[in-house]
Amino acid sequence: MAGIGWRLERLIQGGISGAAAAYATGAAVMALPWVLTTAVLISLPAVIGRDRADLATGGIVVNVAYAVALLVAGPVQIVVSRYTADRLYEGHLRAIAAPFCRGLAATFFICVVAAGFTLLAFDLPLRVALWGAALSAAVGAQWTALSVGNGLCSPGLVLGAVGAGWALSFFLAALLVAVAGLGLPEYLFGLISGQTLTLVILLVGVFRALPDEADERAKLLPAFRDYAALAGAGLAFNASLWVDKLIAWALVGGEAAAFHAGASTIAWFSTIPCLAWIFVEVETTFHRRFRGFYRSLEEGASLAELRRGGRALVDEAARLLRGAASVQGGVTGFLLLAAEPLARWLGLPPGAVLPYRLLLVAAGAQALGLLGLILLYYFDLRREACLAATGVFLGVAAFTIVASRSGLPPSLGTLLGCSLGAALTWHRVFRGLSAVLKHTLLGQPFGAERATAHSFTRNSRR
Amino acid sequence: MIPTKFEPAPVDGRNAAAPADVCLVLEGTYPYVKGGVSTWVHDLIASLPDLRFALVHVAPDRGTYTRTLYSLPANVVSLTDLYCREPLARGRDTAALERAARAERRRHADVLRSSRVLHGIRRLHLEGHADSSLLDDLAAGDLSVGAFLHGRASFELMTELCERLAPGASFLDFFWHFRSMHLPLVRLLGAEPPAAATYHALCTGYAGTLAAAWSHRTGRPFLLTEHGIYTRERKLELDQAAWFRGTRDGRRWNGTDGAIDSATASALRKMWVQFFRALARCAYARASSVVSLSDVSRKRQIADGAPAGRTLVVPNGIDIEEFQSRLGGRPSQVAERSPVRVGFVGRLVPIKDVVTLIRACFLALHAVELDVHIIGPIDEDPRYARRCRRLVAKLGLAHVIRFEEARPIERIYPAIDILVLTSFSEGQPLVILEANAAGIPVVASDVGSCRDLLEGRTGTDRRIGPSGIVTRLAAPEETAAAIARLAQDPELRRLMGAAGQRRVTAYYRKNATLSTYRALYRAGPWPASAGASSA
Repeated sequence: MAGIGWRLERLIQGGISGAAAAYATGAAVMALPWVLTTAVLISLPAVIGRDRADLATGGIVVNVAYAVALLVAGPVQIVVSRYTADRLYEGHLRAIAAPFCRGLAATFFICVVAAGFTLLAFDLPLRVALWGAALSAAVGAQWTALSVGNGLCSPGLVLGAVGAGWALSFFLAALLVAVAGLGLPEYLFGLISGQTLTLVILLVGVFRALPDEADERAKLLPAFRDYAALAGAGLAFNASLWVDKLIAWALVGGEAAAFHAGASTIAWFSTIPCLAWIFVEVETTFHRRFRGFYRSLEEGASLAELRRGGRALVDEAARLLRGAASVQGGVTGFLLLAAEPLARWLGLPPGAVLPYRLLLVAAGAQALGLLGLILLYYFDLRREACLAATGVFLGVAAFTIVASRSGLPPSLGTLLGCSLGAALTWHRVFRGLSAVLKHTLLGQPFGAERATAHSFTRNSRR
Repeated sequence: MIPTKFEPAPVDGRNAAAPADVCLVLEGTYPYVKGGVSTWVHDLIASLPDLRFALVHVAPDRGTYTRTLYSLPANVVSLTDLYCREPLARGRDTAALERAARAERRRHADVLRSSRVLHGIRRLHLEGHADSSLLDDLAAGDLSVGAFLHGRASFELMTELCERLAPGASFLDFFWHFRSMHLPLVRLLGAEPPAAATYHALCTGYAGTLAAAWSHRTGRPFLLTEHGIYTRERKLELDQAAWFRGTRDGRRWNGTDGAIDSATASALRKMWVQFFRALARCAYARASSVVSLSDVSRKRQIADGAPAGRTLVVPNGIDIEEFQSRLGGRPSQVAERSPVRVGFVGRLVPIKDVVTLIRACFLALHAVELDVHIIGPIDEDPRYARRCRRLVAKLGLAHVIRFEEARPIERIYPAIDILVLTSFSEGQPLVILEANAAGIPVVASDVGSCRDLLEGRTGTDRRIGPSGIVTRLAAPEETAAAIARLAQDPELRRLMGAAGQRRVTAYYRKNATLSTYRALYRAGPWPASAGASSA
């Protein structure tokens, strides 16, 4: 999101604590949905109690609520954040509030309906389904607010909102269930309260950053049409994170599927340092290079200078890839070595180690693929982003199916799918960046009233 | 939009199905603009009632000309408008345009195949001559607007041309100028030609190239008449264009002023000039006859690449008897009158350099009393008209210089004693012929055939004596001196007026002009030997 870069740089310049805050913001923005989902699922038995009958029901409710929020909020987040970034760039801040509210309302409504009907389809009682729908809506709206808030608010506010909401969620849930002895609805109430607190803090931060007067005529719907490919990319990538688990459950089932799902969830934690690094580097160093290239285009650089600038962007993308791979490689290597002691510590059988190791590498590949997708968004290579994300989704799905059908661990298929998807994504990134000038200029309409250089960067930003 | 299949619009239900005898390809003139060329075209059509004319008018965009200013003669069978570009999009249209651009971009992003038109555009810039193979390329019409604006092959040509023609220029400015320069050509070349026995263009440039391409495609003859020299006029415009003058050297770009740096301006100006010259070479190469109005223009055409053997001078003429009957059958009477009435008759546009006229009157007023009438349409370039009015006000001449709407000639010439024409560029100004026919002396700048008209083309002609005074271009002091000289000397005015009447009667009769054009239209098929023209 435009606007965060200078804040992050200021934080990093402030010393170790500032840098830690910057990377923590990156981690929150990039990994919050996963961390939160996993934390809730892992803490569920501890909070509700392993012997409670509604443990299974709670698991279904939380899974469905977060999955729906993720699938719904993902595309909406991309469109809303992109719309906001464009208005920020144009200096048209009055046009943000109304469409942002509509985006939030849409997320809220769709999450309620989708999660509610899905939970009813699982034959859950209406009361529980409604609580689940409310949780999904709160989480979806919060993530949409986060996608806009991380560009408009200070990193401190974002971290504070997430931290406060998280703490309240677990405190209330634990208090109402474990201490007061109440049931699943109260547990869900506790979770919703915390998520709502985060949402409220983020909304306060967003609206403080916006002017008092709002342009009520500003519309979000055309942005969905304009950024449909980006939204599709978001949806496909989010789906790729879930599809292997569903396939494993459907085709393998039993303990192997459970190991796969559990290992996949834990393995994803390994990407947090890498995702935080990606967020900070993309929004600072890379963003500077990116802006520098377009500024030179606008300020009258010659063709030779622009070609040099284009090559520098390719080099910068390669540096990002190397950096992210190094961070991820370090974490993955350490966790691969620590896999067996970790499995013993968690009380897992030896058979769980191999899927975990395979999925550690798969998660790393997926994180690198995500970095590629972010760069495609940055350069407005919408179709390429959509194709790349779809490729990742199809790759993961196809290889997991093949592995499951062949009697191999599904994790092996997931690893192959993630690796191939990441490789293809980066192929598109380098191909797109090597033709960035051509792509930027040939996409320009001819005959627009203000066919000035403004249009380039407006159309070529995440 | 350019029709993919040419569908001439019938005029007043006239039958456009049958082929026309002549297809006149016009650019920014008749029947939408009042002026010398328009009057000439109107007279030509009306005076050849046995020939059927199809009119094709090339305009910048749909909104530029909205109504015809002439009543079309009965032998005009169709009038079709072609546009160089679409009007600027605004508001929601802009968003739609951006979506359409993205769709076109996707459609043409990976198309490697180049087109013959693109190849032709490349040759226009990189080769110093035009031949039938270049016209083959351009006439192929195989490049869509979408492929040109958003296609890979087009971008590759653009970068090649930038490297070779303007390597140090701002690429962004080069990009927009490349589009602006060639889009009209791409749009026009995509149009199907109307059926006609002969194609006749009134200028080179886009319209001339279009007519040449149509002639090449259909195998029908192509006649080119240039009143002014198009390439020269465009060069003058480019030298004065605001977008080349307001450079941003030393200033930071603010994204809105449209200014460019001086190195880029110089490279782009040169590229535009060369482009118009290349278009002219195409038209000259195809034309069976290249007509000009004066020897000066003819020499310039030859210098620009017209084959000397196919050039000829056909001066304009006027119907003396009809003209004088409209004036009441008597020549203007020269009298010792004060103030002396000075007239400018023409469009109020930069190329007429009315600013010099105003400055000249200001200077002349120090010596003589004048009553100045600037007569002509002012709506073609309102900004220039405002500039002229401001200058008059600034010089304190509002009581002396009056701006008046165009009116019938019988109400113009009896009301002036001296005609002044200070244009930067002219072909053969009809107003000089009219003024001379009315016995009015003329002060004119040395452009086009003004000197021929005022001092004579041949020895016999020159013996008639001068019918006016020729001055240098943009020289207000010289123009002022000429005005003062004529204003102070009624006898000189009378002598020059009489010489003008004799010259027009002897050499500039309309019947001769019409006979020549009738012969040119019926000259027969395109000669097989014709073909190439070198720069």
